[in-house]
Amino acid sequence: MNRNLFMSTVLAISAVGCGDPLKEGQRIEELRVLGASISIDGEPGRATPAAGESANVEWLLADPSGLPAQAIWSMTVCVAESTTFGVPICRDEPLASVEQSEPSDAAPSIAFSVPDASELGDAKKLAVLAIFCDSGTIEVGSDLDSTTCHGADTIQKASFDIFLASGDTANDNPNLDDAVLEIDGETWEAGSTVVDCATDEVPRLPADGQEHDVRLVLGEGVRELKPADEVDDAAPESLQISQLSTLGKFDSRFSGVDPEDSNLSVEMPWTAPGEIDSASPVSFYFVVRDDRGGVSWLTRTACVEP
Amino acid sequence: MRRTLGVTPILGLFILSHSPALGQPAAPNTPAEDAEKTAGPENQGLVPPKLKQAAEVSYPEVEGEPHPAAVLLAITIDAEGNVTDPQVVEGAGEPFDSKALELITAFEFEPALQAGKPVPARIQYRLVFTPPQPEPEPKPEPEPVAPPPAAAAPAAAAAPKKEPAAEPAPAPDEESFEAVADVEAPPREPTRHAIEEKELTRIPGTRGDALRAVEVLPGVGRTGFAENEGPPIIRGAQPYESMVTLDGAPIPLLYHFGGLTSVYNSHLLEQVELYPGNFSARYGRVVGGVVEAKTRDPRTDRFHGMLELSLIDNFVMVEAPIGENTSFAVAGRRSNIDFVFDKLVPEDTFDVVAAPVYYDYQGMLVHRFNQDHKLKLQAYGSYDTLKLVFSNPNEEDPALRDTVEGEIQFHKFQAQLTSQFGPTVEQNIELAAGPIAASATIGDLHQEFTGLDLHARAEWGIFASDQVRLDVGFDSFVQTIHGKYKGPPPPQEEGDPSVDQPLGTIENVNVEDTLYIVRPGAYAELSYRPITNWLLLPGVRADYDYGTSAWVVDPRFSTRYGITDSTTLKGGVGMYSQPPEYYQLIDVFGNPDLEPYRALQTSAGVEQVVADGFEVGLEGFYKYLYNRVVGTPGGAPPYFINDGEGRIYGAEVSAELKTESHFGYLAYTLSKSERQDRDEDWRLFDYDQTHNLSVVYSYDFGSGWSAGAHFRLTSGDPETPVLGGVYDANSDLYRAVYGDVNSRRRPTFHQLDLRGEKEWAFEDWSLTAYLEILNAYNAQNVEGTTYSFDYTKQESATGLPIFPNLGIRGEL
Repeated sequence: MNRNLFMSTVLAISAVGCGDPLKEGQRIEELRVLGASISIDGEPGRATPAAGESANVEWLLADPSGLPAQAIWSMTVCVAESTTFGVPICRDEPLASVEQSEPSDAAPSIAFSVPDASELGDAKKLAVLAIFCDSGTIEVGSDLDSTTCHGADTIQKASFDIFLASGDTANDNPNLDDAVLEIDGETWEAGSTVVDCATDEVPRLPADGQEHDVRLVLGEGVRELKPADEVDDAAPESLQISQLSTLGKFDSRFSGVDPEDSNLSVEMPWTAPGEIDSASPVSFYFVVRDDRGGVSWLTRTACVEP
Repeated sequence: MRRTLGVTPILGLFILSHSPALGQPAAPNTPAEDAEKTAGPENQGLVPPKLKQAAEVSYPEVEGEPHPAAVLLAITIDAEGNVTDPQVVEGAGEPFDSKALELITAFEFEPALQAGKPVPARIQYRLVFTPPQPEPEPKPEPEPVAPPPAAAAPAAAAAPKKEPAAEPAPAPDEESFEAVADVEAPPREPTRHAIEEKELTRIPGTRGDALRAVEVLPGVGRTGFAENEGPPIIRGAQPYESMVTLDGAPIPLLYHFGGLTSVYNSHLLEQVELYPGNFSARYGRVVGGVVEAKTRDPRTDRFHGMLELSLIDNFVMVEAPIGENTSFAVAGRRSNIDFVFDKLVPEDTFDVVAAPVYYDYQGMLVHRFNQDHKLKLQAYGSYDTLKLVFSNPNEEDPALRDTVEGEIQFHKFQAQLTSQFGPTVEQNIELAAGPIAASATIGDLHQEFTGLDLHARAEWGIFASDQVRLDVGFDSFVQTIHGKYKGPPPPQEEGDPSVDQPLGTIENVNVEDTLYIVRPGAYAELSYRPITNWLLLPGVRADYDYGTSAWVVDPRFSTRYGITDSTTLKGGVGMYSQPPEYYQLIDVFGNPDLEPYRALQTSAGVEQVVADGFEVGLEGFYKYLYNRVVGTPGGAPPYFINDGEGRIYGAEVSAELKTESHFGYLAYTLSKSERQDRDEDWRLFDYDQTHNLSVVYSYDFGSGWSAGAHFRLTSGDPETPVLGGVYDANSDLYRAVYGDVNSRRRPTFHQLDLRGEKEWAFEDWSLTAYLEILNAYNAQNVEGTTYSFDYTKQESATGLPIFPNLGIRGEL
């Protein structure tokens, strides 16, 4: 088998630690898309819509200033071909489209209705195809490849697969209701997304290049039990956590909770910037993904001071 | 092509004589060095060489007590009867080996005759050194006569010289002279290249690996260090479109850890042959080329041992006779990577639970029932394993997380019975069977499978007349595989740049299944010589594949015409077929309705013997592939379809130099290999290398010193440009957006490898130290491109830097 897992194992070893990365993914240095999440009307925690249901997909954008991202965007939702790799391919005409042609700091989102079963046929997923730009004018093409923004400094194209509920199998987004974030041992509450470092009560971190302990303590209900399949027995979901910040740097871009892990406390050391001219807000993003299409996130803010 | 030992079929005659007239019937109990003997049409009318004049020989000076010693030599008797290219086959140590090599060139022979014409022949000749007899007490005679010193019995058929003294000349040892004349049959393919035992482990840059040595031959593409886990790239064909066999049976796994070192100890190989195209109907189920590795028989003269220590791995080997008709060899090897792996691992990346380590073993037993029947039993196997635990998910691909482990092993048992029934029928029966098991885990992804495979072949060569020989045979490959798999679905084998996408961006599949692969085949081939120097080889092969329920019939034809004794024209045309890979038929991620794909191969060329030991060749080739298996866009159902084509064309220039003191290979291939997937535009093959130059030279300075160099210059491999990236919100990774497939090329590759060796020969053993330097001038060859996580930045990635490998080997 070409993509032989054993060979991938060998190649994985050779890929690790080979020099410094060209860019560090855990630092937000330009307009970035960090994730998307679906909420279903009447059952907002579920990630797998069924035929005929209405739903909404919201995107998480970040700006290096630490403030809510200002962007223009365009996105569509369609029934997707049953591809397994590559950018999703629409099988039919879009189910819904939306465009924001003036810069906005509202969270980009799109509402749609899932076709009924007869129209879906054997489709297993929907796809959201989107373009986000910091400025300029959107030109929508026949597909994502031909869609662009003229005059923009930063263009981000993105896709999000929505897996449809099948039979008794449904999946929820990771439940972060009971999750607690800590920084240097202190509970870190969510605050305003717009921070005034002169007045707001947020953690204040010196720009001294020192490492800080950031810890995400997930609640017991964060993940579900995956049903057994042809290969595996039933087991808890594994979780992938992306941690990013607009200043400073997390030690690693990803953390994980594996099926056999009973410890749901995830440590993510973060190093403050070495110097700064004046007190600046810094935003932190923690995006939690299960391995079945469910996504949730937490955001926090702080101030870094000279 | 130069006639040398080791070609199948080898035609030979056993001759035992202690009279001047050679050509006497073979004695029944000759402990002769083995060669299959066949009296084919090429040999009928064959008269072996005859000793005309033995040289004056003398017992060399030895330390300690003089003792009898026998040295078995292989020598070529050219068409003028001169002895050339003497090599020690079974030595007796120094100073006997050197003395024998020195003496034999002074012998004179009458050349072998084929159909009345003198032809070169390679024979084996055993020189027996008998220690001088003590001088007798001088008799009270008026003229005492000192007895002549006893000469080393030349074991020749020539009548021993009689000294005019009372001392009779010693009678030659009845078993001291034996000559096995092996007159190489003309090949059954238009083109055959071979690397012999003597050179197999000494080609610089190959780390002593015989399968890697094939890359110095014309038509074989370059692959990067540990880049290719399968057969070599032969005349623009995908690795899996070619086959590598060991004594005719496929090898389950060729390399440790996906290409690091081959699993079979090269010191047990006699020869590696390459058939780059238009190969015989004997081989089927591939559309590329064939590499046939032939094992040697264990030595029969005495106990031998070998121990080698190097930076990469260590091995030990022993071989010895058991009685008169049986011999055995066993070898084992272990890697050294795990001893240093911990120190190479960057901090805070992963914990090493079990560092990568590999083992392999080989064993063989050869029994000669008599001069007509030989049985060879072999067992060999391999085991690779590693286990790591990642501290955090990998930055580039978070699917690489938690435990990453892999283990793969196979064991093979092989039996081969070769027989001669009278002068007109030869038979070869082979059976090879054994288990294979593999498991791998990467985070949530894992696979495990166990399997058993069986390969069987039965073939007969029938000599209907002086001009006609018919070869018929059956072979079959049967395999069962039971497996569980959770991971990405298999992509198109070649030409799909998305195989480089992070695992996290790919939807996984789950499957547990048991497969049965049954592939029987039958073939027939006629060797017809309307005139002595013209060989016609029409053949046909039929194959059935249980997986596709398809029959294929492949007619083939090749010819060789000797314009002169030294110039040969050759050509071939034929059909070749290959069933889809077994996993491409699994309906969860494959297409059970796939069909075999086909290739038309043509070639034409000329071979020229410039001088003894020096040959050159020029050949052109064209191949057309159709019904290729290609993937569907995005891997959507039915996942794979027979909608691909290919065209490969080019020319090869080759030169081979092989003498006692040096050897060299030059290979230059100018070619183009293209593919068309579905209805898309034609594109370059992933490993298309327009220019491919390889030059190897090795020189034996004497006194145990030898040195060699290997220079390689190839066009850079094609690559697909990345135009940008699309963010995948499901995995928090980016998918590359590609330009036209293989539309640009990396810079030209060039590399120089060096090897130096020093051997110290002692009485009963020798010690060899070698130093091999790969990429001696530290060329910064671009082997790929590294991208930032969002594909907005890129930089070239270079391959292997200068790399020394030091080793020491003791041989008993």
